[in-house]
This record gives sequence, C-alpha cells and structure tokens, in this order.
Amino acid sequence: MTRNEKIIDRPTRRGLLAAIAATAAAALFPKRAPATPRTSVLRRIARVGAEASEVGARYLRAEPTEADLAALEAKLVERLRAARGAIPTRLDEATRADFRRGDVVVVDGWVVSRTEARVCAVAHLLESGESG
Amino acid sequence: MHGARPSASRIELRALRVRVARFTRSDARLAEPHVLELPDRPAICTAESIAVGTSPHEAGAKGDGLLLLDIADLEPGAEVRASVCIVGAGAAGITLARTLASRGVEVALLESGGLDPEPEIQALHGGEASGAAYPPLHAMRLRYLGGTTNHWEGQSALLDPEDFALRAWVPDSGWPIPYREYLRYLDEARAVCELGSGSFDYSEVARQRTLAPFPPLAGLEPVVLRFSPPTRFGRRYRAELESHARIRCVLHATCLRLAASENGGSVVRADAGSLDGRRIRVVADRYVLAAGAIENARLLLLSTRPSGVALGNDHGLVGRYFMEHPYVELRYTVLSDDRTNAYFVEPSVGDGADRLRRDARLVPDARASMRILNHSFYFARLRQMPPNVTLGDRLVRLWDKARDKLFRDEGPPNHFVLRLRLEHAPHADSRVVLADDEDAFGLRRARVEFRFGELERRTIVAVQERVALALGEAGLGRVRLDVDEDARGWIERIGWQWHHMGGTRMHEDPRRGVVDANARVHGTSNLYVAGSSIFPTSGHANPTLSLVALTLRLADRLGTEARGATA
Repeated sequence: MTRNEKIIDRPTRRGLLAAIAATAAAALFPKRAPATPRTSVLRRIARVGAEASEVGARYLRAEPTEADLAALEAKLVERLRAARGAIPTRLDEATRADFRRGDVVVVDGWVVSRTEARVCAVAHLLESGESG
Repeated sequence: MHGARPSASRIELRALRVRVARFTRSDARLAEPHVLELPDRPAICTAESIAVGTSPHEAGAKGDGLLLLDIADLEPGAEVRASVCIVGAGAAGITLARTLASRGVEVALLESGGLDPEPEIQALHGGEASGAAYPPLHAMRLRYLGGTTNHWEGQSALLDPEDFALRAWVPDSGWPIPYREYLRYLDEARAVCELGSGSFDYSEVARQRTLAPFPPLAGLEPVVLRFSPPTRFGRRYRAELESHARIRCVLHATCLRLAASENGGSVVRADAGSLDGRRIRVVADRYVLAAGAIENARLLLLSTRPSGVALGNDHGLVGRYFMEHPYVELRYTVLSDDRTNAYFVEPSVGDGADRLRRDARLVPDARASMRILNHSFYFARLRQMPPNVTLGDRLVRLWDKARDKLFRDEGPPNHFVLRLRLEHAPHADSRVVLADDEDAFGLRRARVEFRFGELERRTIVAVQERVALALGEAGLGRVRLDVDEDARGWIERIGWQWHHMGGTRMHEDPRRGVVDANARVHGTSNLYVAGSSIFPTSGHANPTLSLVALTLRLADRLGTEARGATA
C-alpha cells in the first residue's frame, strides 16, 4: 500500500475527504476580487464552500439517492484509489476517467464528471449536516 | 435598321485586326457580330487598337475581337452566335468561359449586371424564403461581373470522400462521380482561386509552420480552412474577358428564358434583356446555366417546353434538394489555459496566402457510428465573461495544470462559443419554387422553402456531447449544454453561411437528379449546369473552390464536344 493510499484509508478518511472537498471547492470557486493575502484564502474557502455546496445541492436534487455521506465517501475513495499519485493528481485522473467512460452528470447545464459532482455533494452535506 | 443613326459609321472589325476593344456603356454599338457602328463623334481608331467612350482602355490583348460589351452596344434584337452560351459571369461562368476560350471554343457570356453593383439589377434577385428565418435573397447573390465572388470572404475547404459516398443513414446521399474525379481538378481550381499550394492536412501544416499540434482529443480531428485573397473573379479576370478573341461577354444582359426546340429535347436560343427594354438572343450549340443555385433552378422553371413542362423538370425535381450551410452557436465552452489548447484558443493564424483557420470535427468513424452529418466547428472567444455561467470556469481552473493560477484574481474570459457549421442533408422538400410575385421583367420570382430534419438535430446534439466528453477527458475544458436532447427550437437560432447548393442536383437517374454525371440536363442534348446547384450533398466545405473544380471538369467535357463538332 502506498503512502497516498494510506491517507485515504479508514481512520482518517472522513477528515481527509472533508479536506479534499474544501481544497477542491476552494479551487473551484476562488474569489476574484483582490484581498489581503493571509486572510483572503480563508475567506475564500469560507465563501466558495457555500458555492460548492450549492452545486452539490443541485446535484443531489437531481440524484437524491446520492445524498448519503457515507456512501459518497466510499464511492469517492474507490475512485481515488484507482488513480495514482498525490490527491490532486488522483482527482484529475478520476475526473478524466469519468469523461472517458461517459460517467458524467449535467449540473446547471454543465457537463460535469461524476467525481466532480460528488466532491461538491460532500461539501454540501458537510456544510448542511443533512447526512452522515 | 440604322435609320435612327444616319451619321454613324460602320467598321468591319476583323478587317482591322483590332487588339483592344472596350465599349462598355459607350456610344459604340455592334450592328453585327463583327461590325462596329460608331456614332458621329470623335473616336480613336487605328489598326492596333480601338477605344471609345469616356475612359479609353487598352489591355494586353492577344488577338482581334470585340469582347466586353454592354447590351446597349448591340442592335436591339441582335442575335449573338457562339459555340457555347454561358449564363452568368460569376466564379463558374468566368472559369468556364476562360477555359473554353483557351481551348479554341467561341463563347458568349451573359451577365445580368454591369461592372459595378446597381440596386435595380440587384433587386432582380429578390424573392421569398420560408421554413426558417432567412436574410433577404437580393442581398445574398451579387449581379455584376464576378457575381457573388464580389463579396466572397475567400474561405475555402475541401469536400470529403464521405460527401461523395453513399451513406446509409443519409437518404439521397452519394455523387455519381468518384472523389478522385474531383481531386483531379483541384490543383487547377486552387490556381484559379489563387489559393496557393499550402496543405489542407493540419499535421503537415503544423510541422512546416511550427504550429501547436492538434490537441489529444478522443474522437476529434482537425479541419483546415484556407483563404483566397479573395479572388474577385470580375476584377481578376476582366482583362482576359476583354481581350480574349473567343469570349464575347455581354453586360446588362439578363437571361430571361431558354427557348426549347419543338420536341423539347434541346435548347435553340437564350433570350436576354435589359431593364430599359433592350432584347437580344444568343444562338449557340450548347448552353450552360451558371447563374447561382437559386437562379439556375428558377431559369429552368421559367423555361417551359412546348409541352408545358419546364426544361429538366420531367420528374418534378428542378429546385428540389436545395441546401445551405446552417450554423448554430452553442454557449458555452470553457477552455483551460493549457498551451495544448492553442489550436482552439487562436483558431485563425497567419495572413495573406498563409492565412488559415483551424476547425475541428468528429472523426469519420464517429460520424458513421453516430449516424450524423458532416460538420466542422471552432471556438470563438467571448469578449466578456457571461453572467451566471461560472461553474465551468471554476471546474476548468481546478484541473488546470497551472495550479498556481487557481487563485489569480484576474484573467481574460476563457469562455467560448462553439460555432458549429452543419452539412444540410438533402431533403427533397427543401426547394426553390416560383413565387407569385414578379420581377421587373414580369418573371416570377424565386421562393426558397427550407426543410430540415432529424439528421441536423442529431448532429448538433452529438457534436455538443462528444466535445464535452473529449475536452473533459483531456482535462482541457468544460462544455455547457446549450441544446437538450430534443434540440427543439434550434432552427429559430440558426445562422447561415450564405452558401447555396443543390436545386439541380446531379444523378445518373433522371428520376433522382436534374443533371447527369456530366452536368447535362436530363432530357436535353445541349443544356448544362455549372456551379454548386449540381451538388447532390453539401458537406461542410465552402463551395466556391469545389464548384470551380467541377466547372473545370465540365469545361473538359464541353471543350471535347465542341472540338468534335467542329471537326
């Protein structure tokens, strides 16, 4: 088992999953207006988390059976395990593989990979406390 | 005949062996084919040249002749004789005239307009359109020397082998000539269109010019479009038309109808006229319609035989299978900053003869397996970030390899419109018919009835989805679906390339085509059609280059026939 596989293993999986969601969400929804360096990142994550959560909410409305944090965790972990490298690289690979397989969903008109949608859904579930 | 002009003098031109003649809108007139009638006013007349009018002109002439005329230079009711009468001096007509003349064939070339656009002449193109919102017909085709090449952008692409093939999923597809027959005339057509010798193969172009390679997108391939200067055929070849001994080009001579023989099996003359009431007739061994796809069909429909059936219309096919190149703009695509996307981010590169545009499309296997039409697309960058469509932008930035840019505060909008140009499938009910309204000659105008079907809709949906998957898989972008599975309403948002094709389609079977594989009108012995109206399918390519190639092919045929007849 590699180091990267270990860090998404059971004991720490949930916390890391939240971190992945937060990191991905921060990347997905950076704030564009200038801000002071140190506080801006935190603020951005706080704000963009809400945006990611909204996307996740839309996804879950379209696919309500996915609104189960534990199940989402398992599915995401499974996909990330199939990839190699660091977490961002695994996310990238898993996303590309989704597109290759045609495993995509439509959110707000955008064709989004299943992995992307699930990351946003996790962000929503964590923020809202609706599941898990 | 000359009673109204008692002081006029007459000159036998052949006796003079004139080198140059330009009598356009002058007071000189042709009393007979080789007899010049000069009014009682100063005129220059030497053994070497003749020049009249207010702007005497000498071009590099090669022989004797009286070549670029206005109908007003001819005696009312004059009969012009030639081996081949060509109707329309646009890309096809001029190409055919030049090529035939170079092979020793006497040509009469009738042009509805003059040397410059004139509103009252242009209005002759007026007509109606139904089935889709369409720009005014009179604005689309130009009636003066050079025809519609006078507003041609010069954009050129090649027809594809599949355009000539019988595709099981495209009813009425397939050409009666092989693709290699088209390729045979392509180099010459490129020279006529001044396209240079640059390749249409992108891998070759990229290697030669050190351009970015086509991105690694599954199921997509590059499409290269090249550009003519553009060649304005009237301006570019005018000196040749004026000076060539075997071309007699008559301006302001609108073809009104083709008169058929008693049995309807041949054309015996072309009647032409001007808006001020002048009439002439052209008697030739062969006649060629080269007036544009709508006008070719209209002229046939206006030319009824003694039986009452229009020429070429024994099976009711004249005007049918009319095609355009519709396009739709699909919003939005977000492309990453990755350099791999250079192909798409800057579709146009180079200038002058090196200018080209980089398009893309689904590969042939995908087009076949998905049973869709030919097409091509490129991405046009939006100048402003569209509101409320930022998700794709965020997604792309997430996976962008330049992760340090994820948090940058500003950047150019990376939202694009996918501009998709479609092959218009051949639909029998997409057609040119005669409207009830009449033009200034009292002739019924054209009405274009557009029809589209499932194939066009399916192509739009398939391309949009395939591009979304390919960009996502490559990590190069995201696509927002702009049409749903039904794609209802796509016709309401359609744009047009102003390419007119079909209407006198080519097919060996008279029950399925208006002209045969040699572009001869079925049921006639001496009537031919030149131009994109003979295209059985439209492909995605701009038609000018291809119609010139096929016109050169027709010139081969007619040249051989004419020489055979002479021998």
